[in-house]
Amino acid sequence: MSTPDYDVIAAEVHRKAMQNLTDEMAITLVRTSGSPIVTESKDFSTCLMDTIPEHLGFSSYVLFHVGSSLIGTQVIASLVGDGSDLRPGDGWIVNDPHSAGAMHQGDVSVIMPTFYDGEHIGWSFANMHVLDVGGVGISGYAPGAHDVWQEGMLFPPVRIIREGAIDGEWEKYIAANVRAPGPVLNDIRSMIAANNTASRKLAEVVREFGLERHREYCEINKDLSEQVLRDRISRIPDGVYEAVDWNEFDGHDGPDRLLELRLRLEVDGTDLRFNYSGVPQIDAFVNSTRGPMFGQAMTAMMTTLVYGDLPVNGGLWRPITVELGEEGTIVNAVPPAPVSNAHSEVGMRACKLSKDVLCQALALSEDPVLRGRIGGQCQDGFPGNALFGTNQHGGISVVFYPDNAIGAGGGAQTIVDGQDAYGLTCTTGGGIPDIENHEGADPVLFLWRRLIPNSGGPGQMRGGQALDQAYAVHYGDLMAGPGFNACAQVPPHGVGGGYPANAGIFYPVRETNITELLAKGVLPVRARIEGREEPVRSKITHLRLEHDDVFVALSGGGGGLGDPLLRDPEAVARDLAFEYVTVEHAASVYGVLLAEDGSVDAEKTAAARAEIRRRRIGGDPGKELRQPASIGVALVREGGSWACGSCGESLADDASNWRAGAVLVERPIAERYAEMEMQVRDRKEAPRVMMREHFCPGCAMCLAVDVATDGLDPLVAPSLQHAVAAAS
Amino acid sequence: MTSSASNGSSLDAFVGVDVGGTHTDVSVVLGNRIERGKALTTYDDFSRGVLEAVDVAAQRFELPVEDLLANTKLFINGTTVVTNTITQLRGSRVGVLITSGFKDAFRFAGGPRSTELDDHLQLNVPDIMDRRAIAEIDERIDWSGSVLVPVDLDGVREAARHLVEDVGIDALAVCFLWSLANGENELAAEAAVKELYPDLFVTPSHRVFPVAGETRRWTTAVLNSFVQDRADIYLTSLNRKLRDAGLKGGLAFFQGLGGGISLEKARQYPLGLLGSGPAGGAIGANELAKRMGFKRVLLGDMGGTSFDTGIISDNEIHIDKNLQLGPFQTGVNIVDVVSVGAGGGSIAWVSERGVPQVGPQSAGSTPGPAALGRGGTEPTVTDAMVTMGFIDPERYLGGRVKLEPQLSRDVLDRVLGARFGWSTEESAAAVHDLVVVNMANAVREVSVGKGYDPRDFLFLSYGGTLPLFATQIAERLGISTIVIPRNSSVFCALGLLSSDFILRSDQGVGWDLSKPDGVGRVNEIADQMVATSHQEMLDEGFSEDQIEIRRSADIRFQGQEYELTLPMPARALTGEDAETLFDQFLGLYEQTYGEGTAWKGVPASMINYSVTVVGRQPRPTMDEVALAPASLEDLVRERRTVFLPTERRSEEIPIYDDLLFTAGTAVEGPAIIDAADTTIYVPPGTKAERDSYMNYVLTR
Repeated sequence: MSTPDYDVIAAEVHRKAMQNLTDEMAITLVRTSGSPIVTESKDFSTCLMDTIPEHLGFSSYVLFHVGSSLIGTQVIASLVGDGSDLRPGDGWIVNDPHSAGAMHQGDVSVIMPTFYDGEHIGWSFANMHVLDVGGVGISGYAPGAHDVWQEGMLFPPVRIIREGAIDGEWEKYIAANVRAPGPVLNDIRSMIAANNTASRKLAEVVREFGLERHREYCEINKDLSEQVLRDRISRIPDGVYEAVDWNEFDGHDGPDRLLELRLRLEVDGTDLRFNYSGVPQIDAFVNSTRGPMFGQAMTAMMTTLVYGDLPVNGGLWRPITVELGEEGTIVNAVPPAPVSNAHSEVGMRACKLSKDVLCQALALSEDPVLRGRIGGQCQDGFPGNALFGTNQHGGISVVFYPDNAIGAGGGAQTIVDGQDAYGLTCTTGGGIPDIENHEGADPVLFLWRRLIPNSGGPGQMRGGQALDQAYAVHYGDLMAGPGFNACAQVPPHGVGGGYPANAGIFYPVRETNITELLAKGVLPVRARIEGREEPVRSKITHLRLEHDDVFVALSGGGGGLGDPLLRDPEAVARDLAFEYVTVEHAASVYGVLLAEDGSVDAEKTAAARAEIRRRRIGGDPGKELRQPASIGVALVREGGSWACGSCGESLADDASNWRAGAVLVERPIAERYAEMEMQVRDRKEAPRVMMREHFCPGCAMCLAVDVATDGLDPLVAPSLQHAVAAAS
Repeated sequence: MTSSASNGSSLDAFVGVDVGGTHTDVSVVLGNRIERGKALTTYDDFSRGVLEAVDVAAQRFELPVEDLLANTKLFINGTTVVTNTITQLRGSRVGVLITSGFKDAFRFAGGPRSTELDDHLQLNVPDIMDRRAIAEIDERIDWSGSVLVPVDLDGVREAARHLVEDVGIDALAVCFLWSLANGENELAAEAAVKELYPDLFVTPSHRVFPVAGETRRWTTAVLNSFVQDRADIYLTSLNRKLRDAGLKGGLAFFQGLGGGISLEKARQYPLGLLGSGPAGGAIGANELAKRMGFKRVLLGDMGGTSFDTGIISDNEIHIDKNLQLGPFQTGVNIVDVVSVGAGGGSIAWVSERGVPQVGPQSAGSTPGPAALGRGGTEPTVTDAMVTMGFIDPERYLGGRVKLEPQLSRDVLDRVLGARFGWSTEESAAAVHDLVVVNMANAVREVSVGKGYDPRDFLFLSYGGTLPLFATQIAERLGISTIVIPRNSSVFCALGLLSSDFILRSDQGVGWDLSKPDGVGRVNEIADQMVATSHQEMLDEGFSEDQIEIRRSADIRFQGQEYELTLPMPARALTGEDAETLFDQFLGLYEQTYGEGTAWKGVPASMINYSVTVVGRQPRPTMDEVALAPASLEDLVRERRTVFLPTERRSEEIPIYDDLLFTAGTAVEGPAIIDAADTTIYVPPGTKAERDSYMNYVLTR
């Protein structure tokens, strides 16, 4: 090992200083903003870049902003050109997903140059989800819009900040265009304050190290992160890995569509190339653009491969390429496509696809640490709404509750069950606000907030459990605005023979008897509430909740890992005791039965598990079901063949699809979920969503559970031989 | 200073005890003299270790332990029992009665995911109690405090019977929504349970933390019930044994908030005893700062495994409201101390990126630093300091332990030198630099992170190891003055022994300052809070002239989450105060967050009213010493070649003897001042002077 030719200690001290700086930006933002979206949900990001621009430090709250910060700054840097008219204290506001990498219009960024001794040395970035941006939607969500101009104010990079303050004329313009001018302008001021902090503190750091050393250490630290990531990628087998997913859209009163998108990952030496493709863009807010696609591909990459000693900076981008194919598709939309939910519709599907292909690839690594990094998917979509109405204090409430987003279960991990209320993959550090906060501010009465039984995807490691909550508009007459849900029909997948999890759903219950019950002094619990349960579509242009209407929303769970028949029966017994799973679910999915005293009935459990295995393959399995050598790695490559990770049964030669050698049981997912007492929204229109369970013909272990549309070709297996050919 | 036992026995004694994880430390002040006692902590019966340690101290005064206890005016006790009960999750079997529909609040925990990217680090909040021990009860209060649904008492009785008889709980928490606005449903439930089980310990959530935000309030209640059993055993046995042994004076228990409470109070609210260890040092630091006339202090304490730091502004110790204890949100107010894994035993290693790191892993006491020769194979901070010549191998821990410097050199060469092409001294200096940066970052977190500029503060450094690093830390933060107290062990005891009784209560009030006529409710609540805690302090035996009442209120813009605290006048508020308070709030807001950050045109609300009642304790006195500068030649014990990490070169520098270092004496760096239990490094360009309280004041 060669010895470094620079001061390693000073470089590390410098790295910590850069990270401190982005953290101090975040502190400034949180303290000056006060928006509950920032302080509680942590829907914001701050970072620092050099002039290239590459990241020097990143404060991780919403991970996909690694994408919006990079692209937004690149666009501004190219606008500025040689920088001759660039002044300290200048600042741009950005929220246009089409032209400047924004996630969606509700996520507004402020990007400002940093200077040292009059010399431009880089950029700082702050972003937050502001309370409103005008338009037909509320809080930046406009499912009813048919083009981007209906969605509210658009800021391609516009220099509205001079000398560290927002221009007074622009303040007036913004105030006139949004529903909550006070808070929105405060949000923008907070982002400026965060950037001003960066500017001031960076100058102090550069003064300490000297400009030349500062630049040298920035490069060194990016290089070090790049090397570690490349080293990890080098231990992933070269090859091509593919996945498919669907974006659900049923808005505009048209057909209930499943918009297909695919990802093809090429692993080539120390490079990862993500190639996305999708169906043509549509006239609704689900389309995605570069910012969300780059950011979401990186989000899954980071939660999977960034662990231990690997600081986030520009070095992490260098091994990564993201290609979006031709323009005009849902993954690469152009105007006039509406995009106001780009980040959490097609964008979050892009995150799930990224996680899917990475798990396929990692499972085949020779390195046990990398094999240990596979995990179930999480919902990456949520049932929610953004409402507007008068409250009990005589004021206006603009409501955007993140509860069901953060309440989604996390994917099962190789070392532990998935985390309950993990949130979306991108929401590190996200929070669920207290009920007393909601009720104190808004005209709502909460009826319940509970975990959903059977919501975690079944597996040797169970997926994380999800949140179910309901509130009534009880202290007002009307709250109205858009409603939106995603992945109600296509639930999050498991991995390595683990099962998919609950999907998220929502529905209003109209004209309830809540006031009546309260008048009698009776608590309106679920069983006592009478009203009209209204089936709704997943995208609602204008949801109206009138007095005592109830809004019920159930988050999705996390996908399972490994065959559920391999789960420790004691763990299932504990889940039963806590009522995390139902008796029927435990028996039919896990094959676990309890004795009367609540302990595991070993004999009955063994018999039930044997019976499930017989049913899986239509006869007695010839081989024993064993825990795979690496937990959750159900498929291995041995002697030129795909083989079962449990019994070694050869399935197919390794140049073809292993699925050819597996026993396939294909059923409509809604039917199968009904048997398992799990929740997914059934499609009433073609194509139906199917669950394809693949079992080993030797030992009947579950090899993989695919979710696919009816009639779709078998999903594609990893192709290791073709890696180099594909790359060339 | 050789006072005889007979002189001492007529004086009042003050005894401070700190029951730590390994050792139980006792400090006794008798007259102008302080002695210490130490014993192993005895987990089967903590009081035994306490009495053993007191006995050691008594022997040093040549007094029988009964005589010492008979003369003791105040016996104050700090304990880690409560903290350990929670960190080890070994407490009572708690049951919970909770508003129907909300039994999973503890699992949701306000969002359990951390900011770490690594999915393997995303874990569920540990169950304090089994989900089967949580029973849902029909009842409901609304945001305004109105009873929507009275509590179902039959349901309560049934649930209590089930929890006690079938589940086997031994403590209960009652957690109802909006109980802060109206506690009657929680109290009715408590009364119904008590009728059935009079001895069951019950914590209604609004009694321990009547503040909005159910996750925090409920978790506080559950933890209070969770720790009560272990705390009670400890409190009861200690009280009995001390009384049996002849203690006549007061017995107080030290809270993490930085003051004592009585046995009875501690029994009702054992959670208040959380984190009492670091608080003692902070109180001591503040006492010292006041004496020296400093108002703004950053304090640091470095031990074998960790570095603790906190902030004092205007002689007010920063209190961390709503302590986050690992994954648990609590409403406990505690002296704000940040702890990082940087200590003498912290291990140096090379990370995956090939970058040297120090800590947070520590070699602990076994095997300890390589220099101890007990099989330590990884270089530690202590090894680095031995290698550079800062620690005299013959005099480590007062000469009780002999060090082997060659072992330190070997591990530094193997782990760092070979990898980076460094000399042994360069490797040692690298370890020194990294541990300094880690500590400086922690100090930055408690200062800059709270809106303070560290350059406006002095750095008060205590603990045996820190004086070697204090000036270098100060330099990284731009701090110009460093104070090292005369003797850190005495100093910490001083903290414990200088503490007053404190009762603090917070209550949600929800007053919209744009509606002045809402002031009536605030006054009602405030009057009630003041009357209650005042009476409690009288009941503790304090006289009127010893009692001080401080009022404050938390105010925030409507729609914000973070509050700022303003002092409140000692009188009823009027409608006219609304505007004044709003203006004061605006001023404080912009002072805290910067000019121009205040929300324009948004009204503010008073969220909580807080009352702190202080019962003044008598405290030991410390005399000043006359300044009598000594001749520097007389002070030099030896000259030693030391590798100066700040200069990256070796130099022969004087080693001064602490015992001969009189008040008023001043030296210029580079130099080392060697005391029995610490070593002070005075780097080049720094001046060290001893003041009239025998503290070292370093200026750079």
